[in-house]
Amino acid sequence: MIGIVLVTHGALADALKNAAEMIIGSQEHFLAIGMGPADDLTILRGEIEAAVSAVEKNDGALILVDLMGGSPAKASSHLAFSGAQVICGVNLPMLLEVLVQRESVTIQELTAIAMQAAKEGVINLTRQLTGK
Amino acid sequence: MEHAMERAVILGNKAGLHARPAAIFVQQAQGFQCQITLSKNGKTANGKSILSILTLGAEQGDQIILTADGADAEAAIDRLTLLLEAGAE
Repeated sequence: MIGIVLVTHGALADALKNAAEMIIGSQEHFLAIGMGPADDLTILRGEIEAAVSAVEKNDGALILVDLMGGSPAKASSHLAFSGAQVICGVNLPMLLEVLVQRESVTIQELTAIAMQAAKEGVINLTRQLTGK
Repeated sequence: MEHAMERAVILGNKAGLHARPAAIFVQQAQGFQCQITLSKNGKTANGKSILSILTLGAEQGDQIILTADGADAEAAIDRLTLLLEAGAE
């Protein structure tokens, strides 16, 4: 099973984890890291590395970050340079799809699934229901 | 031998194919090589995508057409039919 690490500003990571587990039940090898306003980037990077070590077991890990260019992304970029798979722009559709599919695909495949799911999850409900 | 198989199933779970049952279904479906689809009233979902299944909105008592296409289609149909029909929790 591929481990998942969420890294975001503030409580978003915890909230996403909470929401996902409310829908599909509690998950293993899944950690959330929320960055505070005054957090040190070097410390944050260490926390991300520790989280990856904790969740990756035999199958590696996928790091999901809230926003390109923000501090969580900057702190994760060192790992990206070392070959870790980091995706920015995590939303709940992406997270759900990643959590249920991560036992049976490679990290490359899971990355592609994540990117696709994030986009497919954005739906105009009004148009779908009323045609307008 | 590869072949496509189809079976009509009545959804047994009280909560419908949402939340945990949907997650469990997808995880089981992932274990098979074949392509798996679920249809309800002509609307089709990819059985290996949780978002696809959640948008199907299948409720208890709904008739679902389960389709499997590939080498292990028969095993997939048998296993997944049991899951869909199960009424527990």
